Amino acid sequence: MRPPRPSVVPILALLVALVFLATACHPPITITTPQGKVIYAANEVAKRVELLQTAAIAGEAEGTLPTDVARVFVQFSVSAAKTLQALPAGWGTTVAVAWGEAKQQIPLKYLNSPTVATAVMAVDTVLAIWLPVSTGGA
Amino acid sequence: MQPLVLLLIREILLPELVALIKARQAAGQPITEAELRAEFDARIGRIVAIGETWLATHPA
Repeated sequence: MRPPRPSVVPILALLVALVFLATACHPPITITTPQGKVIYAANEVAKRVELLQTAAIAGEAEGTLPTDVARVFVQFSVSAAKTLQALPAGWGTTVAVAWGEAKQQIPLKYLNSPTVATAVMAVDTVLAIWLPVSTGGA
Repeated sequence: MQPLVLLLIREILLPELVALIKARQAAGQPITEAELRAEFDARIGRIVAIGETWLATHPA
């Protein structure tokens, strides 16, 4: 009788996660100055905020998100973008608090709806990665 | 490491990574800090412009 083979799925998932973290947590090697690294982090957050805004506007247009819910996402996106531009090295607390408040205003069924769930997760993830950097914790 | 895992890495993961890197290069994604700054500024401008336009046409 053959011994049971360990599943390759967890190994592959780990590899994919490591590749993601390796690429998401470090600027390209051409970005060497502290200012460049600050802009890189802010740009990574802005990418996910733009994704969220695009998804919310599209969802509202398609009728899968109520206008009031989409408005919360769009207001957060505009506010976060302005904060990132004004404070590229110190946006952390302001954006994280605003994101927490925005999510509290949105019913869970819409927060988890397929229309925006991926974008919501992307914002959560990018904040988890870059917030400590922005707030000086790492 | 098991041969199957090595095979999957060689046949699936590595080609995907190479394709991803080539796509980033082809898309002209930023390499220098000046390019990165320009991309960031453009993205922020786009988010604010689109968002404020949308908010103006969808008042509370």
